[in-house]
Amino acid sequence: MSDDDPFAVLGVAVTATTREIEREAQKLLGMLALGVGDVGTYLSAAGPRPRTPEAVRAAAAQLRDPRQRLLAELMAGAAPPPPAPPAPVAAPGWPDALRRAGWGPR
Amino acid sequence: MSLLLRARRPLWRARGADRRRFVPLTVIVGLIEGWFVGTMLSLTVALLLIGAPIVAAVLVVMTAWLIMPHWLIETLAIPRGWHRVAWHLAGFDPRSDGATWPALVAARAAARAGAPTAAATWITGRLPERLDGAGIVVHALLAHGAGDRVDARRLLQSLAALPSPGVDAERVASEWLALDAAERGAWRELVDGIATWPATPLRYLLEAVALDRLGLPRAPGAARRWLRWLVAPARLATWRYLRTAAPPPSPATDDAAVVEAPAPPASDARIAAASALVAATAAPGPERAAAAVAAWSVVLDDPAWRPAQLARAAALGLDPLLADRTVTAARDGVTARLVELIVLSHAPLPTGDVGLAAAVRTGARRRILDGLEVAFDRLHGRVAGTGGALAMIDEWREFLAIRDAYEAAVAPGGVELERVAFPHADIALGAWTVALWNRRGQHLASHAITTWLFARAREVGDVAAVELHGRNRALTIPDA
Repeated sequence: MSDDDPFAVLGVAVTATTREIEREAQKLLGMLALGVGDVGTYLSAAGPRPRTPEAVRAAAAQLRDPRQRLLAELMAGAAPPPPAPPAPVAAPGWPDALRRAGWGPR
Repeated sequence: MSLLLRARRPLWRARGADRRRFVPLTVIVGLIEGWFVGTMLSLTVALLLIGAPIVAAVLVVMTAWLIMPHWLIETLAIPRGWHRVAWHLAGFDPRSDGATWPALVAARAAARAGAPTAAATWITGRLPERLDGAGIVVHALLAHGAGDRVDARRLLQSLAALPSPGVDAERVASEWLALDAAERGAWRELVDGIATWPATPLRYLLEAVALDRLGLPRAPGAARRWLRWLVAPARLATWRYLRTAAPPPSPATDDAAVVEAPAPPASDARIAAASALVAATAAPGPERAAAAVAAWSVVLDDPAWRPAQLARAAALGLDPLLADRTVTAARDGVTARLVELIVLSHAPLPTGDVGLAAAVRTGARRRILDGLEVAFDRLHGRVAGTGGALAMIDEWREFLAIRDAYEAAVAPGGVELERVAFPHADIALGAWTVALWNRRGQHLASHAITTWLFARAREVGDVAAVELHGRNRALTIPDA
């Protein structure tokens, strides 16, 4: 859901008007076609993701539809997930115990 | 002398049942055997000296007959994967406690050779028709030999559910599970197994290691660990455990690797909720799923949320009817995502009678019950004759899978959910126990399933089921 956050794809605020969204989409498509700047990636809640012309067009289309935009606004702006806590370190086991003790395949 | 030798069997059994007397009893058995061998050798020499070589040879053969089979099985037949040799030698092994020992050591030998199909067929073809503890252990060892250790572990652990699985079968399962736990570093599992599994020489040593690794106060001291090591096999491989374990290393924290996530603005509950959903989706777990439900409850249960969304929809140009549907769809979409997370992560079902928590609880309950119902219906159809009977070990595997799925599914909802789920389990598994007992003569498996149903019925307070399964559980299991 947030991976496809159209606001993040276009790099616009949730409060952006339709005109601002269209203008930003056209600007990004032009820059992507020319390969200008670092527009090839955007920061989503799941980390950096590639920004392609198809993704830009899909995001703009999604925000053009009032129903889809309302749903997108609900999920927009999520922060990246916190790093997973370090796994508890178990006391090391006896490597290859079964085989060494004569059990299971050689 | 004969009486003393016969006394070894109850001594072996007693040491498995009572860990406090394990080392003394092992020493007593060692003394008996040492004394026996010494006496026999002295007699043999004396007979040779007085010119009676034939009687001396008979004495040597008798001594070898009592000592050699077990040694040959352990040092020759099993390591080389000679399942037939292991089978036949086991018939002479005085450590055997019954007729199941040949199949168990043959399965160990076959597993050593990778459980080739011919060997597996040869061994399983000699098992009794009725599935018992030894049969389960044989199939588990063969599964391990074929590379399926998870199946082997699950089958061996299931022995605890059987009525009287047999001393030899329990001993083999106990040792295998101890080694498996030690290999995975699952020291807590080893300690928990003390109450369930009989002590074997290697398990007894590994339990000491586990107690030591976990830093528990009842961990034996160095001298006692030495004693356990002395009476255990594979001393070369286990000598390292004679030393006291160093405390487990504290979790490594690489400051550079840990990126602090930017906290969402505390004032914006909606962003906090979206972030909680992203976090729970990225790494599903009970705590994160519960946190996501709590965060979204703050947003969606706020009386101002719906009017604000309707106003926003109007501002975007939606007519009132469409706006209303869209806002409802948004709420339903979030609810469905949260239900998915709760079910996937086996999180406790949210509490609360109204609002989002209630909707998520209802949705999760429906999902869990639907999943169980499908499994029970399939089983019921098969048992009723539309699906065909499976090989008995596969019937047992199916019971274990259904039991585990049921217990995992109902755990998040507690007794309240299980009260709804149990009747489905009761119908399907109840018919199964009857079919196994009456049609297939599989009394042990049927009794084990009945015992489980009885325990679940008591848990949910189903009086009729308690009475029925209690009566069936009390039936005498016919001899094989």
